[in-house]
Amino acid sequence: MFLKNIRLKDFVRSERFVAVLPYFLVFILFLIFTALYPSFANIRNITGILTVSTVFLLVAAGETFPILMGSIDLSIGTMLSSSSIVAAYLFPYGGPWMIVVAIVMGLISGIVNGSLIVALRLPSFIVTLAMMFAYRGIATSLTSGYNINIRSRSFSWISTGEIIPGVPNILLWGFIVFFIFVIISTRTKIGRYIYAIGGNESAVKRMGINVDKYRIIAFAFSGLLNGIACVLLSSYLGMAPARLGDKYLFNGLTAVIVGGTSIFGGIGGLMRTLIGVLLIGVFDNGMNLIGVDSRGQDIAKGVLLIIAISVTILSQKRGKIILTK
Amino acid sequence: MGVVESMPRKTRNIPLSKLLTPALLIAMLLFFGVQYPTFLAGSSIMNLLRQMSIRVIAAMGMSMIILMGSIDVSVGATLTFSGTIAALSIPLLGWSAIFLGIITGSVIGLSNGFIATRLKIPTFLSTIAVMGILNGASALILKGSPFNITSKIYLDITKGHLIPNVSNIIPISISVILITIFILRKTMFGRSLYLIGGDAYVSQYAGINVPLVQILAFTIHGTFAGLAGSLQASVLEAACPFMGDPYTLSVIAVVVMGGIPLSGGKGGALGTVLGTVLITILASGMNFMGVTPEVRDVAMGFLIILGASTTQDRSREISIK
Repeated sequence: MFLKNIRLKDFVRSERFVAVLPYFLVFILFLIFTALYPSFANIRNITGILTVSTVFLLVAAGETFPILMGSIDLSIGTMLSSSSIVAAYLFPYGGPWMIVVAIVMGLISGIVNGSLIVALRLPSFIVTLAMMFAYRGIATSLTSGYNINIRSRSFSWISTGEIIPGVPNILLWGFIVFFIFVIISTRTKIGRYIYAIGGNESAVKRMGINVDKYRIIAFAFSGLLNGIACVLLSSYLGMAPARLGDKYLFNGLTAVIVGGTSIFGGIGGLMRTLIGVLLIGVFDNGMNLIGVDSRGQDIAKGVLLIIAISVTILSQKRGKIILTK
Repeated sequence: MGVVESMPRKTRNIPLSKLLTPALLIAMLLFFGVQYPTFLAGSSIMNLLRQMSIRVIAAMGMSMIILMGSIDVSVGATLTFSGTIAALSIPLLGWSAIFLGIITGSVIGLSNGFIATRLKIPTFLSTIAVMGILNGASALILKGSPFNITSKIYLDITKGHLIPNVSNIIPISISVILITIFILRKTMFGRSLYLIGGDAYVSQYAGINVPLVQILAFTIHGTFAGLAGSLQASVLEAACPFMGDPYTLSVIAVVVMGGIPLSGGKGGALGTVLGTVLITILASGMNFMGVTPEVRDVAMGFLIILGASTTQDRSREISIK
């Protein structure tokens, strides 16, 4: 009787399905990879997945804010590279000043993105696409494409040390920062307004809220989180990476969207991004273990991105005439 | 199509945005011409034309896409992939491998169109995913290293001289420009592109099959990109992974500097040609100055922002996303 009323097709296109699907996928992927490669489920490997995912988590969390308000930030990843290269260029031996410079660089990059979008009244994807190449130019031209090595034990302690035994610090910092931003997005005025702008921007504008200000703030969050992520990453790798931008852009975008945040804004959030990041982390790690070429992974992730976007869109726009551009 | 014909005739005052590109062009020619006297010599003008050709072919398709208000970020990857397919099939097909390259491009364009219209994904997102797929696929096929082309007859497609002293690639690109101008001005399809750029919903209610036009436009764009990729392989005498990458940004920059706003609906092919001249002179002038490609990308990025902000139609938009 009950089951008769729920049609599978409707369920697949419902908003609830989008929220639950990533958890299922993580679970299924986990089972598949464990079956194919038993040591996948080792505690060491899982710590490894979490460690790698932490940086992605911060980058993807940053991307979540612009997407929640219906914009997009294509310069994540390259912002990370440029901040870390500039910081390492100025302070080649690591240390506290490098951390400050890197985070400030990230924040400034984000504010520049947001201000350009607001001041020139251009769509965010074109501004951040252009800025993506600008940041990449900064990162590669300072060092002609080479990474900068940072040999400092105290700097690498930031990520690899263990305040809590058995748990690398990078997880701790990542968790703290992520938690702060979860609070910001759910418990503060800024967070609520970002959701509201994503839901219905012109209504928010008519209520007399300064939409431009919150748009700049959202992009600044994105830049700030990239800055923090770049400190953790350079400390973990022992170098400032010059060319990691594309990978982070692709993974970050996929994680946010696979997690179930709508690209039209207003629906989703950081907790969904968390599960999206875990999904991508498990996927990447498992694919590496069973020996799939990294280019093969790119292809698979591109397909995954397309499927994920269309699932989230179908859930929202059912029954409406939509013409996409 | 009465709507278009009954539009009021253009008034005399030319907006600032139309003067920007010619002014920049003259400034750049003067700057580089004075700085480097060899820059404007006859042989290097021929060189400039050759460099322009591939970019202008890819930009013609992109003009159609941006006229509708869509965008294609995967254009560079399409170039790479179709160039790769063409190059790898030369041992089997000889010079007609170029047609396989073109068809590959069309298929990519067709699927881009389907993803946009059937799966309802905005093109700036879907084409990013497609870019990843295509770049991954070409690197996978080529195993990460260049594939050299030795077939003389395939290289002659671009390097031969049907007209004395003029490389074949120049007449090819001119004919692509003429085809595009014809499509945009004289066909119902071309006029529909402008209408969709103006307002997609209104054109749907006016009886235009908007998804069909979009798919067709993406297919034509893909065809041109496939042609550009196959020619690029012939110019480079090899197919390399990521060989089309530099074109992604510069092709968008070309169209935007040529006066087509990102929201679509205005401008045309001749503007894009002017934009191509500008961007190519800038790119090769920077080469003369010894600037690295990365810094050139930074300049392209700022040109896109500059061009887009001067052409943007601010009268009708409610909110920016």
